[in-house]
Amino acid sequence: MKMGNTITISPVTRIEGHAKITIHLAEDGTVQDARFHVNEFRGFEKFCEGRLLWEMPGITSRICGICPASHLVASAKAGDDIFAVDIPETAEKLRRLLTLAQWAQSHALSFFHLSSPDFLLGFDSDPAKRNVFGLMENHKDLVRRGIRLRRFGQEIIEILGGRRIHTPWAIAGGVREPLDPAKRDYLLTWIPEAKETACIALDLLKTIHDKYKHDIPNFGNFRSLFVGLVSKDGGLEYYGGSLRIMDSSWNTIADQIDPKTYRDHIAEATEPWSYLKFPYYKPFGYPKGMYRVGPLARVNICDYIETPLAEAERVQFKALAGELGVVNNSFYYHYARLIELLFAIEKIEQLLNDSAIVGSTIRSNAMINRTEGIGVVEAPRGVLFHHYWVNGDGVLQKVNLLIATGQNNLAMNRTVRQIATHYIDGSKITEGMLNRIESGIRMFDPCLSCSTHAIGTMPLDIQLFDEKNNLLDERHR
Amino acid sequence: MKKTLLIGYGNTLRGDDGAGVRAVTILSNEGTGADCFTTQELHPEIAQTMTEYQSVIFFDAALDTDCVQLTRIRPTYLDEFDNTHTYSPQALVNVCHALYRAVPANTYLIRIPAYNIEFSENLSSETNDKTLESVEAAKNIILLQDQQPVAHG
Repeated sequence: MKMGNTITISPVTRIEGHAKITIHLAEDGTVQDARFHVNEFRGFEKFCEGRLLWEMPGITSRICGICPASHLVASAKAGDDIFAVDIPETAEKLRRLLTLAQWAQSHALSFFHLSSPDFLLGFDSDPAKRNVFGLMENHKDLVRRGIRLRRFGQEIIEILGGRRIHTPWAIAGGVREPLDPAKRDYLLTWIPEAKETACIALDLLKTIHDKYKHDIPNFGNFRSLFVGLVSKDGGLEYYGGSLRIMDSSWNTIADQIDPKTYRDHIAEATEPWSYLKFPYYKPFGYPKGMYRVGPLARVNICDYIETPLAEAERVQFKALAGELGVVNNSFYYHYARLIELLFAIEKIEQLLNDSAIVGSTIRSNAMINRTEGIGVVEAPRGVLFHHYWVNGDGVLQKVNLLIATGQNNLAMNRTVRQIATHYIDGSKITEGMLNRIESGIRMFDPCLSCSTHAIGTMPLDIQLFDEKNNLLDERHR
Repeated sequence: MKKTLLIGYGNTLRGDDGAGVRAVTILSNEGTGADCFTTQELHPEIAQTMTEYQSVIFFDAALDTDCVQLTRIRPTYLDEFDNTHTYSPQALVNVCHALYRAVPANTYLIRIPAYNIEFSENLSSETNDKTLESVEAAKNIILLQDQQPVAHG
C-alpha cells in the first residue's frame, strides 16, 4: 500500500513468523531509510522464571516448530553446566546427530520450500504461483526431492526423540533414550539419496548465481563482522568449540573465546519500532558492532570443513571472496546453507557408522552444583545461547536467550535498506520490487517465533512513507 | 495398497485443540485395523505416505462448529497456499495429486467442535463427548472401506 512517502510490505511472506517492512522516502522520492519490523512478542524469558531446571529443555523447545531440537540441545547443555558434568561419549554423539538432523531439515525447508520459488519462477513471476505449489507444476522431481530430504532430517529427530517436533529427549546430563542399532541401519539407507539431492541443489544454485548476476550485487552486499563457533583447530563446528569473530577483510578480531563469556563480547540494543533486539559486538559499540551469524558466517570464518564433499564446495565458495578473503554478499547465505546441508548429511553418515552412537551409557546423573549455566549450540540460523540462573533447588531465577535471528537483525535492516535504495524510485511500487525486498529477508531465513520469543502466522507488510512521515503506499500479504 | 490411514493433528497442550489427536489415539487403542498417525501440525512429507492408502481420514479440532462435521476432500486447482510451513488436509491432497499423481480414493476430514483452547492437557466435557462421537463416525467409515475391494497400483 502506498500513502504519502512511506511504503509498507505487510506481511513478509515465506518466512517463519510475522513481520513488516517500512520504506521512508525523501522529498525527491529516493529512499531515505528502510526498516524491518518484528511486531510479535512472546516473553519466554520471563515466564520461564520460577520453573524447574529439569523442565527447561521441554519448555524452551516449544519456542519454535522449525528448530526445536536446537533449543532442546542448548537448554540441555545449560543444564550440564549447572550440574557441572561432562556427559557420556554416546550422549554427546547422539546430541550431535540431533543437531545435524535439525540443520538438514531446516536448511532443506529454507531452500526447497521458501526460497527456490523466487529463483526458479523468477522474482517478477505471478505471486499467486510463486510458491512451492507453483514449483510443483514444472519442477516436480526437485520438489519431491526437497520434501524427502526434509523428511530425512525429521525421521532422525523422530527416531531419536520419539516425535518430530518438540521432543523432550535431550536432558541435563545427557539424553533419555539410546539409538536402536536397527534404526541406525535404517537411517543409513537414506544417505545416498540425501547426498544426491544436496548435490543437485548445489548445482542448481550455481546456475542461479549466473541467472541473477545483475541482482545479486545489491542483495545485502556490505561489510560486517561474522560470529560463529569453530573447533580447536578452526574447523566448522556445530555443537561444541569456541567462538571466533572475524571482520569483512579476513582479520580475526577474537578467537577461541569461551562461549560462556559471551556477555563480555555481545550486548543488545533496542529500538522503539521493533520487538526484536539488536545484538552487537560490544567493543565496537552500537550500531558499528553489527555482525552476521548463521551459514554465511560459519562458512566464512572456518578454516576447513571436515567432510570431503562439503570441503570441496567451501573452497569454491571462498573463491567468490576475491582479495578480501570473506564473502560479504548476503545472497550467498543460500550457497553457504547448501554447503552446510551437504556437510550435515556427510557428518550424519560418519556418526551413524561410529560404533559409539549405539552405546547404552547416555546420562550423567547429578544435582545442582552451580547456580548459573550457559548452553551454546549452532542452530540452523546461527549461534544460539541459553543462559540460566537457578537457586539451590534448581528453580529458575533468571533466563537470557540470545537467538540467531536477533543477532542478524542489524544486518537484515541494512539489507532491506540496500535493496530498497537500489530498486525503489518513489513513484511506483511494483510487486516484483517488493518481492526482491522480501527475498532479501529470506536470505537470512529468519525465525521470528524464536527470536521474539511469537504466536501466530508469519506473513510481512511493506509501508512507504514520505519525508513528513505520511503513509504513501502499503502492501499486505 | 494399504486400506486406511487415520491422521489426528493438533496441539495437545492447548486443551480442545488436541481433540483430533485424542480421537486417533482412542481408535488406535481400540484396534480398528487402520494405521494411525498423530502430529502437532501437517507437513508436506505426509503426502507421500497418503499415496500408499486407499482411504485417509483427518481429525482436527474446530472452533466454528457445534457439531461433528464430515467433509470429503478432493484435489482442487493449486491456487491456495497459506505461505507457512504448515499444510491443510486440502493442501496435502493437492500435493498428492500434483507431485505423485496418486490420490487416496477417499479422503475425509472430521472436524470436532472445540470450545476451550487455553493451556491444558484435558478436553472440555463438551469436546470430549464430540470426540467420542467422531470416533463412532470414523468406525463406520472404516467399516465401509473394509467392505470395498482394495485397489492396486
